[in-house]
Amino acid sequence: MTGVKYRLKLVIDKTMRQVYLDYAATTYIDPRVLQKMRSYLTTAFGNASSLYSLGRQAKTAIEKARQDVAKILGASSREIIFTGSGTESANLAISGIAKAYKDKGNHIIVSKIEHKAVLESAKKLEKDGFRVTYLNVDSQGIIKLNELKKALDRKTILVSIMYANNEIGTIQPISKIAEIISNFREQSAKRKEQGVRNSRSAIGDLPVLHTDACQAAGVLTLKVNKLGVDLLTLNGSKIYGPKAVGCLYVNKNYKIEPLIVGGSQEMGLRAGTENQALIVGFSEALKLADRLRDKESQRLRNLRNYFIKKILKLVPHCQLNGQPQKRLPNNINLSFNGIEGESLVLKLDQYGISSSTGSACTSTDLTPSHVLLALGVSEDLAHGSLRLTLGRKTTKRDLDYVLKILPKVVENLRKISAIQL
Amino acid sequence: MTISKNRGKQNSNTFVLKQKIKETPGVITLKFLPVKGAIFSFRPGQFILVSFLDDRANGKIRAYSISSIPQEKFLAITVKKIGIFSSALHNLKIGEKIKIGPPQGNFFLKDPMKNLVFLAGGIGIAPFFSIIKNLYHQKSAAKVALFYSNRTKKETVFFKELNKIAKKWPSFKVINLLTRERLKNKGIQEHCRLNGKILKKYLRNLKNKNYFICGPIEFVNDLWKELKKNGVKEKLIKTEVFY
Amino acid sequence: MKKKKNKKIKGDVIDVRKGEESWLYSKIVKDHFFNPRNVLLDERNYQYDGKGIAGNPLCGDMMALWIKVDPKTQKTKDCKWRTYGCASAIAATSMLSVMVTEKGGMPLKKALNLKAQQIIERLGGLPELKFHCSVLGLSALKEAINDYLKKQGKAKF
Repeated sequence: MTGVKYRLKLVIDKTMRQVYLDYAATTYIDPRVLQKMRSYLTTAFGNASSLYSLGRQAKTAIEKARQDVAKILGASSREIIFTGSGTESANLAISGIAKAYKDKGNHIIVSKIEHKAVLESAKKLEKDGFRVTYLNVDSQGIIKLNELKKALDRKTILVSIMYANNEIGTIQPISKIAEIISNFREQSAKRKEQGVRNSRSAIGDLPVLHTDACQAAGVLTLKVNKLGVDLLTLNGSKIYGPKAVGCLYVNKNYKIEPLIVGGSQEMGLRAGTENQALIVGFSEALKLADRLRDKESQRLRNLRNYFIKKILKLVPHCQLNGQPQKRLPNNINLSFNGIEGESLVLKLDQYGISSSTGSACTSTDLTPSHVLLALGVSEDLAHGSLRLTLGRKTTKRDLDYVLKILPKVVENLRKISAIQL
Repeated sequence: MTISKNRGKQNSNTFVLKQKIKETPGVITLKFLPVKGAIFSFRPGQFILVSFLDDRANGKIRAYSISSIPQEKFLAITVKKIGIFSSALHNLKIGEKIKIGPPQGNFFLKDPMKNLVFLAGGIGIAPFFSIIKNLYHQKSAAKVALFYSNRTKKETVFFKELNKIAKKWPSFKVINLLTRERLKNKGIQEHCRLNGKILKKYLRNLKNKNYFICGPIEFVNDLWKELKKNGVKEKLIKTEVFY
Repeated sequence: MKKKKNKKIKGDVIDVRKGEESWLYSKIVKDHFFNPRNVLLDERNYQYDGKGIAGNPLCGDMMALWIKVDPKTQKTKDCKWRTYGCASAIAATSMLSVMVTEKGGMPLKKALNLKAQQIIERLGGLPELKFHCSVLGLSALKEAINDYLKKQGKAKF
């Protein structure tokens, strides 16, 4: 073989660590949560719809879980629907509201940086004759509130804006958004009053406000009255609970059409034999996350800021994507000029570091992260993005290890890159 | 090393759309004329790089095989509607202009090639349509067998035109295959996927022939393997993948 | 009667549904990604005969390729490269550089007729999504060869 093999693998001291930094993708199940789930995976296996005691036992566990979740949200039990995932909850929210209120209007507003579950649900509705407005965000990822005000019209039935973004961690001003919608509803009600005899209260009026709070749980408040939202989506796999379980909060003044039919479970809104183990796991995980919220947020925020400060100094031509302060305490999203994300992730994996990228490796049309593009990040920098999300097991030692490896890996990839800076 | 964002747009000519022909649901042929000068010379089987004058396809450039022959008045491409770019082409109006780059690719015949086997998958027929029309026009002595695979007859682009040429040109044979439909139509010879068995059935001997494969990734890769499995030498196979 | 050896054709387009090995790519791709061959670290001191560039950073893949041609045999006697792109892109360019320089080099005409399928076979397969990475490498090679021919005052192939 001609030529010299250029070894990209570095020989470093033998202290290789396993550092998981993709908590935004999924988390491990906290042992305290797993403990609470155990009996439901083994002896308490009953079908909650059965009349005998084993069934009633399952039912009791589920209703207790429902109550616990409702308490954290400041809602009532009958407003909580358990689903099979955050994606399912988002689908149920968007399609469920659209179908329930299609005689009142056909306009839906979402942001350009929503999770695909929301975006694809909206796109699907476009094919059924709904009109969708995709709101722009500024260069830091915050919704343009003026655009929202202008977009609202008499036919708007649903607005869906995610609480905190999974890619860049940006936290949206949900309360302000709720205020805008509330004012709009009052104006609409006044207009109605002038023509129509029965005057309705502002609650129960359209448009409905839904928020995807999957990334916000355990970090920010979920009190629905404080936020001013009518629907809220959560899932278990982001909060140290089990996968394949989520929940949708639906304010009692609104109706939704179910996606999955065939049984009367979940108040007729989500058919299918309930998995009490997963549901209990979800509620326990949520309770635990809420309890640890303040302390853990502070700890993660400090670690995050420490890392960002250091990496921006250590690596040239590197930028932080998204808003530096109004950001999830565990989210780091960087772009490195001249290198591509997938190769970066795979090289870090060789050193025991788990991360993710906004590069196009998994999309079929080879376009990179829609979130980064919406921020105005150029395509090549979007291809060269790296997302690191911290979690409960992340320590300073872990981050110091990454700070040792990452700059070297970037340098190596830059050396063989066709783009020279 | 400078990176020019306009790579591929250099040496491009502006062309205007003169005709739009609906071939099948989802496939149209666009016929262009240059705004200035004559159509560049090209070899049937080559492709051109197309881009829009404005930002409607995010400044992207795509390659399309030329489906016309140099003797024709217009420069034609046959486009299947798949994504944003092809949809924009489908929405192009008569009189609108686009940029077309010079012909590229080596998916063309090299003289002298006597025994030709063309394997076309779906819209992969585009370059073959140009090559076949050209051979017919030249009253070529070459023996040509076209194996053309599609899902349904409705989707088979240029079905009539190819059968017409086959009737007039005795050394050109068309074997139409449908993979998702069964039709008792005289024009359809096989109802299965194209493979070595089918090739052997119609060609008997696979050796000493020049093969051209054009179509989607899996189609080309599968047939590449089939041909090699049946002893065909790599240098006798030319491939063009649409992806 | 000679028995025909049924040459097992390694290298396939990897279909995840069929359940391939647990790593994302084949062992060969992994090897060429972590130990890329023929990388050009410093082009300033490299005397080349032809240079070609393909791709665009906005699309996520870009390759630069440099070749040295033996004037007597008209074979590619050296091939260096640099790539901006994913593991497939890096591995594909590395493998291509090996293919055109092994066994004393490759005649230019043969190099120009290389097919993406041949690179994919040598790599032990590539996911369908990454097919364009092998095509891009060939584009850069073609440009490099035509650059050499232009400098020689010869007609392009």
